[in-house]
Amino acid sequence: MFDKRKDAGPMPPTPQPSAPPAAAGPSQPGRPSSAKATIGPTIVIDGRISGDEDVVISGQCEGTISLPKHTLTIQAGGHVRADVVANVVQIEGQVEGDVDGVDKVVLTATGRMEGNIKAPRVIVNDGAKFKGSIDMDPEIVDSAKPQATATAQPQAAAPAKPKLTGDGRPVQNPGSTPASPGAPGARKSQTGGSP
Amino acid sequence: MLPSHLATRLLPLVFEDVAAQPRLNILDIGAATAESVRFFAGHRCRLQFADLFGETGYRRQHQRRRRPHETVFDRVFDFPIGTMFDVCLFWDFLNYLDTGLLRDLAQTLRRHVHEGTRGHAFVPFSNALPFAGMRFGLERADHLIVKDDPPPPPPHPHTNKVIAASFWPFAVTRATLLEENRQELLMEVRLDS
Repeated sequence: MFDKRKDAGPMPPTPQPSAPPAAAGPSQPGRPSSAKATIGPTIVIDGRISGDEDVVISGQCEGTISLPKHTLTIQAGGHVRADVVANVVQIEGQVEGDVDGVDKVVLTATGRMEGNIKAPRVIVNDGAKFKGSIDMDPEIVDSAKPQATATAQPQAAAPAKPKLTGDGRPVQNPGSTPASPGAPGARKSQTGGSP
Repeated sequence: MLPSHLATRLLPLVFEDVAAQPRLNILDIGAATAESVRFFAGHRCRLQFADLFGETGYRRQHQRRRRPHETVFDRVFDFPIGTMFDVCLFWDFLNYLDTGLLRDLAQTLRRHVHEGTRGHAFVPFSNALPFAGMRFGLERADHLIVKDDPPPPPPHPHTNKVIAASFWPFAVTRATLLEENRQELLMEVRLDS
């Protein structure tokens, strides 16, 4: 929806994607699964970031980021101009692009985002700036979800319609909780969906 | 001094009928607030936050030469083709538009609403009394949190009659007087009216 690059000024000269070894590439043998790669505030990456560990970005990244089993944190001062897939996306800095959170997306008070979010759980804290759409259709999120993490999702079976309780709160989907809502396999929207 | 919350009577009706839709498509003209996102969290819906209160683009576009039949909001919204909203939450925003921009907004939204799309907005009951702009978080359908960082005062407070005359295809179906010279409007899209 948002043209991420139409108003973007030229990024500073960037190294090749392979340049920052701490950030790119698959996990290293023997590296603990809790390892965390940090892209420092002076680092600029133009390309594709993928891997098998958590990533913290304090610098600038443009391109695509794929960490479907891990957490991506964009710290305050960090600037991501990319489409992102990660298990958890924590936005404390600035993001321009579409964000697909397998588990959840958190926009903190210092976070700024322009783009579209898809995630079963989205948390926006006061002070955050967001322009775009938040898609909470669990089925769409499931399609981007790796099999390895599928079992971690709630297994609610029945399709649910948004309904309101007596106090005006939407009724949660059957089999889901507020923390992990969703009804995988539920039918897709026939009304109002965007192509 | 702004109140900390506001009880609404008509907002629950906005969701009452459209809630039967398998998936709601909701346009929130305001900024994303923690309460509103939490309210809809976990439900099969798509929330589109336009954040027009903080958007100066429509004002800039207003001053530029435009193609015939193009409105300032055509460029500001930039929704994907085919996007159709079931619910439009305008909050206080209509009072920030003069009648020309009000018609522009309605004309742009005309392509993104369907018969029966619900709308909700606040307007003053009387233009003779002060009307403060507010920013809301949707805590419950009948209960709004008033945020402590309000937008600037609305420059074009509209009465119910002005909205009814200038905002087709949205038709005002109900209006209720609240405190603080505030009136809430329940609207419904009627394309053949």
